[in-house]
Amino acid sequence: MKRYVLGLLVVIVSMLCAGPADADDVLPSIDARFADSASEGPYPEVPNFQRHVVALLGWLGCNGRNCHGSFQGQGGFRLSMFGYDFAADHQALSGGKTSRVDVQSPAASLILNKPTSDDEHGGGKRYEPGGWEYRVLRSWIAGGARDDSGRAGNLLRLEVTPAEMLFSATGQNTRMRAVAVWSDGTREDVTCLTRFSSNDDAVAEVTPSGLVRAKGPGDTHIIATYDSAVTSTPVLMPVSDLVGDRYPSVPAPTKIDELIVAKLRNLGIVPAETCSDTEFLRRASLDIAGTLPTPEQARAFAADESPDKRAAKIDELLETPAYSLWWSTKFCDITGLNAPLYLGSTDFGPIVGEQWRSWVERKFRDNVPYDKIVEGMVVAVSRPSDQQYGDFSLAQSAYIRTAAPQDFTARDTMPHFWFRNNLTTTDDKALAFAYSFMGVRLDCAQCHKHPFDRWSQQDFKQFAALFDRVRWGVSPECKSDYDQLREELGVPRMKNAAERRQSYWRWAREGKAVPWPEVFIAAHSRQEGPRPKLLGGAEIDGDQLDDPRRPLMDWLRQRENPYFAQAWVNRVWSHYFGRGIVEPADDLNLANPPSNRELLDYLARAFVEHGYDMKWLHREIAASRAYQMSWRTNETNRNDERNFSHARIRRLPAEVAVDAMLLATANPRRATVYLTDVKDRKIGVQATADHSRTEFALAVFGKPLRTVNCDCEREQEPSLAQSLFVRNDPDLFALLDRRDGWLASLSKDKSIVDPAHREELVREAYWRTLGRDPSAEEQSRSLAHLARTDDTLGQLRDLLWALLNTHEFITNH
Amino acid sequence: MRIPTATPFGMSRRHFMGHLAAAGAMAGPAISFTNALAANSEDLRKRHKAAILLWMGGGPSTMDIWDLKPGASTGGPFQPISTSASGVQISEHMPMTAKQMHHLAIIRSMSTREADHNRGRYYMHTGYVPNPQIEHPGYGSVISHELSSQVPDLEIPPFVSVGGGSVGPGFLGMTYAPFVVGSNGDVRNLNMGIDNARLTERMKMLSELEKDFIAQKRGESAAEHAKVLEKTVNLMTSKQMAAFKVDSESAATKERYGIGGAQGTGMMRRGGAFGRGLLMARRLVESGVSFVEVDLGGWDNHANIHTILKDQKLPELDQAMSALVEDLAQRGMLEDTAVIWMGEFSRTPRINGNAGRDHWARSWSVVVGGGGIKGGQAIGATNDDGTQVATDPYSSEDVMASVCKGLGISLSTTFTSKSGRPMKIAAGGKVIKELFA
Repeated sequence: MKRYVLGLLVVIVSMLCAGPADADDVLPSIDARFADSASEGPYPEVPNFQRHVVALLGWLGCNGRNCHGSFQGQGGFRLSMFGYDFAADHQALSGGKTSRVDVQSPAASLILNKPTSDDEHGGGKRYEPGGWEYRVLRSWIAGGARDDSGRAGNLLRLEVTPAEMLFSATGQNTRMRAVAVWSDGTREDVTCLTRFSSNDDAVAEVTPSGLVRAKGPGDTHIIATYDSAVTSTPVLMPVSDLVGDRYPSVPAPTKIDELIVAKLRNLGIVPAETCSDTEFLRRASLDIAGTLPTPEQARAFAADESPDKRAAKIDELLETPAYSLWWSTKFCDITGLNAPLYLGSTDFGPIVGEQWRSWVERKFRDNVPYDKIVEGMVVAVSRPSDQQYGDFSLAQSAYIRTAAPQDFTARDTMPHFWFRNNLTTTDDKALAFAYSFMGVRLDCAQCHKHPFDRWSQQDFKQFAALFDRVRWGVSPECKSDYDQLREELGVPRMKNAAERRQSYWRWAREGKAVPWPEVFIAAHSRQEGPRPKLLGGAEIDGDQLDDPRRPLMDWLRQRENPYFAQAWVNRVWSHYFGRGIVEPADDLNLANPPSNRELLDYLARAFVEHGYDMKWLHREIAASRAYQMSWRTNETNRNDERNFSHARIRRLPAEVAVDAMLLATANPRRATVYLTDVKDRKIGVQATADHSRTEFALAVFGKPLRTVNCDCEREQEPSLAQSLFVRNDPDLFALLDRRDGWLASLSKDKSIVDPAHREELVREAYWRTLGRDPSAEEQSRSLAHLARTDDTLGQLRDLLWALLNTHEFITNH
Repeated sequence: MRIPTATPFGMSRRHFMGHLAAAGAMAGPAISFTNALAANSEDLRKRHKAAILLWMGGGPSTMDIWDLKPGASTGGPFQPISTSASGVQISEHMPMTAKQMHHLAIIRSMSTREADHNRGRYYMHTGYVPNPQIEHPGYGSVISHELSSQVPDLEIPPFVSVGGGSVGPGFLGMTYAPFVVGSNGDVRNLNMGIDNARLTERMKMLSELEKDFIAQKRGESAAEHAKVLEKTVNLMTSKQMAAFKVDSESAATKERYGIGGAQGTGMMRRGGAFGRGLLMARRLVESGVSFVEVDLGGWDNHANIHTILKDQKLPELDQAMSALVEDLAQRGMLEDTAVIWMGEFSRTPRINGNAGRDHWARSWSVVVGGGGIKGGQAIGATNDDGTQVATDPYSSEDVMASVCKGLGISLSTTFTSKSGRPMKIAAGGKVIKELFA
């Protein structure tokens, strides 16, 4: 009987699936197909394990992290978290002593009885006894409870309609529909098995069945998840009635502005006015070069009457050493350079760290294309294959030797990224690589199906396998030379690591060969493991290649690669706007779509077309009107946080903040060289082993240690300790009172008691700190304070202190 | 100079709202420097739950302190002595603490895996091994996160670290970062070298200068800045800051903690900084602080360990630790205040060629007491030469879970990391049953 039913079903299913798959040829959703059957059957078909059963269990929440998806399982029953490990899930359901399904008497199956009862199921009642969910599961059990996931083919895509939702009033609603398109040609309505969620419930909410309801003005995305697919659908409700013909004429001088205004127009948001010249100079100088403009620079810029002076200033700033220093620091944040913590095992931690840092700085200064810099780090080994170990050791010492050292920064490659000893496992390498160069967080997929993206654990393992042959230490072919060198130098007889290290350093400085470790590519993978595969790309025969990172790099460079250019463009954008087009900026995933896809696509594409020219990217962004808008908002853009309709006030990054305090309090002679003489600049300071070793002010303002794969490690929140620092720290007072400080330069000046001169001093204090003239009211208040006692210098010190303590000083705006 | 630091500490919205209603100091341009505290809140503060962590940086040899092996080849020269807890013996160089052992429990079967200083410090402070994907919050941040709402009028930060060395707040955010003060008790930037009149005048000028910029509606950032500013002023002028001023304690109390006075020699001198830190910890807890960590370094004894322990480390520890436990008990605070003594790991049973002991995490001891924990006992055991645990092994997570239970913090508490990953409190550790028998 059973066999008969099965046979019949196959016929029905194949009839339904037959024929060319045009838009109308969609299999109705399974809740409709099972709507009319009785609880006991007969059923119209046997559901597919992958397409229906696991999807249904996911939709019901069974494989969530608080239920059976938890690694401990629940009640002795464990499913793979968020599904997609079909073999394991099938085993959990039907294998072992406590099978959850009973093929002989389906009605007795635990998965039909427990979740339909409030009393017996820890997770409460999940569905109605006899409802369509019940019938689908029961039919699958009655059909033999088979794992036929392989036969489902691959899910090609999930077509979610409507493609976007435009609401005009709160309470309006739209029903979403999801159609799965499989590689065997099947198209099936899977709305009832798709999980929907809203990225912002204040804008729109969505029911489990896909009914979207407008909640308030603004824009967000509805995320739909089925099988491996994750899609996002924009939802938008204008914030004002300034839409369509009523939208005012708004300037959009650049491509960036066109794309931003196109979105703002739909939202009824009017962008802010253009910022003033003094605001622009301070903002651009802090963002591009991490440096406060001096009063002289600021006044000169304000007085300059040439029409293209902003563009010229951007170019000028991009040519300063401060630009390359500051941006190389940012890049080293992302690539995790921390010499004391992670490079010690080379025996040359500080040297290796400084080589790394200065190499990056040089590449930024020379404006080497971004892809070339990454390639220089990614596809790098320490020793060319034609170089003997002895020559290699000598060559390494040649960079360090005191007499006429070789210039490390002139090299095309820099392998030190792979020396990081927090990248010892292939998983760690893959996670760090994805974070640094792709802006992707894969750690979820390390253990289970990624809840926000299409990656399964298998995808992650295959991606990680690309890094399996990347090693550091001593390659087998050099082992005997290495041992021999150590023997000759007497290393094995040394007392301890400290003696060894000191000797290495001394010999290296003398230019003698020392036994350097190297980054190399092992001949074979460590063990039988998953075949290496690019993320969402092709499998690679890893062992056949000289270097499996080569196809990885080629893949990153492909025009259609969705990560490589995007990740950098988005991070740079986030630096200038205080928010990425994708936010968080290092979290590109399908459930976290860009707030303006056209904008991100344009920038990434144009960046590639311009040969990954970083200065082009900076120029393109900084020259846009969007970047040059005021922070002063209007009625329509006041609450906008994601569409770049006004400038955001951003706390200065730690290094920039401390440099700004130094610069604002420096005497005029010292101040003029900050952009060019960057030797002592905080914007180039290396990371320490822990915060107690970081300069106090930098630690307080959140300089990252670079221990975590997250841009969020750079702390931007205001904090009590920061506030205490600026108000009351001995270091801050020392800045005010230092010998090469501004106040000291005035101490001999008798004329400061002269009222006219005092006016000058107040203005100077404002230009130094805030880069602008005081308002009439600020001027009179400040003058009153200066006149309060005979100690003009002391009063001026109070004023400078107060200015350093303002929100306007410590932020970029 | 080792600068006390580090991880700065932010401002809790909830706390701020409390202040706003109570103080309103920043409402007018003139700042009031008197901060009247409601009398009933004093009682509240006295009854709140808290924890004090005695952090032994470097990894102390617990075989020479809490779990002696006289006669074993690994035992070393120290002899055990009896204590106020029946059947529990500790090192002869801890005589004062021996008299307090009825308040304390030794967990002798700690077994962990991290024997590197940085990793061990991180693990013992968080329950997790370092992971480049996520910054875990330290126990101090977790406990202050859970407990600080008990004292809504607290103006000092809820987590104070004396001497640094704490692990940061991770994904719990800057509000729960340790507020670090120097090991000598100095609060780095709260010792105002200027008189109040001048400060008032300055703050007044600042608030006037800020007016225009702040008045513009510019979203969260400005509001946050204004709040932090208020919090700063509150802290700078708070009467609660007196908690940091250990010197106002009586001479007898200071002497008991080993804080040197004019006669500062010998033991007085040795016990100085640590005793000062512990006395400050008691005062901070009295003022409503939820978690205080006091750092005592110098335990990384790879050479001449027994001389150093006998002449320096143990007298210093014994004096101050016994004083704290006794003091808390006498004041009726011990019931609500958990005391935890631990380092990142312990030291090898084998004594090396330099008469030292190296890093060892496989079998060692941690001491806990107060905060609802049953003292006067030793739980678990190591084998005869101390090289292995002989009973069920316990972990950092288990210690933390037990402390949480004692303080009434639910072990089903789950946090969510920045990447959306759920993280169980105490990393899912199991309560050590004997501590509550």
